Amino acid sequence: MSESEMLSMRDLMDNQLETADGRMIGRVADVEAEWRDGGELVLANLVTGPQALAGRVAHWLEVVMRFVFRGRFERTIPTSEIEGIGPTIKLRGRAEEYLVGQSDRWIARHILRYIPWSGYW
Amino acid sequence: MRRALSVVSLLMLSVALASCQFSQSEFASQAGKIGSEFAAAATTLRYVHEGRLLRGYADSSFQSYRSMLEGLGPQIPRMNGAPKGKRVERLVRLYRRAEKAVTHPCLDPGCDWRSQLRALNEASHAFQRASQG
Amino acid sequence: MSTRWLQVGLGVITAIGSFVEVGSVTTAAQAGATFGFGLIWAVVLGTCALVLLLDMSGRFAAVSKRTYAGAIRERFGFKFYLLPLSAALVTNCLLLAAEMGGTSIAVSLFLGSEWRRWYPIVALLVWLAFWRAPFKLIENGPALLGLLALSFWVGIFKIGVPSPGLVSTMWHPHFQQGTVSEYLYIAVATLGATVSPYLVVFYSGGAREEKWSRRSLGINRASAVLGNGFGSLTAIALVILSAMVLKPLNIGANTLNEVGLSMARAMGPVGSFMFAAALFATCFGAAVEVLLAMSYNIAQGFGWEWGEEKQPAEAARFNTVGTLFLMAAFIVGLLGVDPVQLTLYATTFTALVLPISLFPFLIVMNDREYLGEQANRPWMNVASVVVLLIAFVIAVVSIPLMVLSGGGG
Repeated sequence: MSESEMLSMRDLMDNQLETADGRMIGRVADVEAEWRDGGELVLANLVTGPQALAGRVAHWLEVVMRFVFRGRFERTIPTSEIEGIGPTIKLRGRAEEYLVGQSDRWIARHILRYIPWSGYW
Repeated sequence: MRRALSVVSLLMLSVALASCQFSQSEFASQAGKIGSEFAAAATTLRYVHEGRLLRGYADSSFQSYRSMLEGLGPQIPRMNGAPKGKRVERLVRLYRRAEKAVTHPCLDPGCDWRSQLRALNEASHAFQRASQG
Repeated sequence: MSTRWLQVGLGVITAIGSFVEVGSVTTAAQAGATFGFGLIWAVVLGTCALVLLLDMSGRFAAVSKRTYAGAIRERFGFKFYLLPLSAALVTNCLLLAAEMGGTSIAVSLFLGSEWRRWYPIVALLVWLAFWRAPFKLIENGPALLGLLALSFWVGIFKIGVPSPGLVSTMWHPHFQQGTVSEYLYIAVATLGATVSPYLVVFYSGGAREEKWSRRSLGINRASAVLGNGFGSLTAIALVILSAMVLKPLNIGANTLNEVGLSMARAMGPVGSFMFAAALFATCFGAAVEVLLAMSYNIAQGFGWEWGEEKQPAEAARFNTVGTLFLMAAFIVGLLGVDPVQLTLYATTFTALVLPISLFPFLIVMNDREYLGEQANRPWMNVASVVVLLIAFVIAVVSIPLMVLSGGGG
């Protein structure tokens, strides 16, 4: 691995997730790694969601969040979806291909369409 | 972080307790405010009749003076640091007369706005003096 | 070349026209009415810090290609980001309610009925501007109208030359017995009203909306320095005007109506009209800017799609969170606290939490990974830290005093 590809947690955690169609869909709240056969530790998923965020603040808050949301809003994005890492983490797919990328659309469809001039189409 | 917060709040508390002489008594600050509101009402009344203010401006102003003074009158004798006896009775009397002018200001040319102006000015001066001890 | 100068001119003019708002009107008038010229230093000091911070904010947006709140979260982590975020939520909520109150009072000055009647309508207008108005209109529209605040200087010249005794209060303020705490309290409120963290967030968000690049650095510096430098003169004019008219009459500027009396004295009905119009434009503009700044802050911090140029449905989370925040501030304004009092709470609390709000940003401004050779020079750090600490220390000393003596104003 060349030095330019060495990453630290700082390059991933809390960074902006940007889709192929240029949408800002969220920030990395946590990461998941896999311990594979042969002793390889591989970064598997980027995680977003209130539980993951709460866990960053305090353990008890994560317990509360887990009780309230039951994992309903926790989303993972496999690291294979990452196209490049710069000021933002560029993903290969479009916003609608990720669950977390559908949040804006969901709010627009279920709430904003009833408010005048929301530009909902 | 928690330690910084507690240091700051402890500092604020000790400043508050140690230096009461830098601030006014409840009566002094309220009397100053009352005097200021009566002065503002007097000036507003005068400016209306001198043609310096639009009617809407004056209406809105008297409404805000009323809400600033709301409920203050009866509290005056009971305020911390208020004078006793004849002096406070005079203040209350002046307050009542001036309050009438604030509640029903004479903004039209026909009525006797000059006597209202006198009442407001007199009350304003009395309260300003009282606030300075 | 000529369009660049046009941009510089527009940037300077909008900064002048949007300098005063409910916070600076209230604090400038109370400062002048109570202590003559004795608190002009606080306006000047606050303006120096504001100029530095806005220059940094524009530079950050133009160079780093990151968002304000995003950078703070990336640099310090999510848990720490919640700290400046909470400070912003509280101060902006109080301030937004106060700005809407100030706007409503301005409307009532024209139309006569009680300001509370106009408050819901003003809130609706603020929401509409947030929901649909193009960014350019929000940035420039109210600011151009706000140039009416320059008439404060005309008012001073109409009244004449201030007496030498009044001028000497600039370096030798007079204290009546027991008013030291009030002096410090108004000083803090003035600093908190001038060094507004929401402006820093709004400004960097705006620079990104307008797609600033390194080429914009000159415009940025010119409008930060010239615009706010001249803009502060409108606040200083109000201090002088209040000192010349209200102070001799013993009017303490406890309501915004009283503040306009000085313009009525100077220029008659036209003067009071100018004051009401300037108050309306600047408070309304500031209300929309506070609301946008808060929405930027949250959306950027959580990495959502944001931007005033997008349709609400395109940046749904951004627009929803702004709408909810406006509702919260609206309710705070309904709780019955007078707008002037609310303004003083907002500005003094802002001053108290200035270190929490702005130190993280100052650290980001020194990060060469983000800013390269455009990172802060040491003197910029020292100067801004000194002002923030002065504001913080006076706040720690004066706020408990005012709480004990029954609240400022």
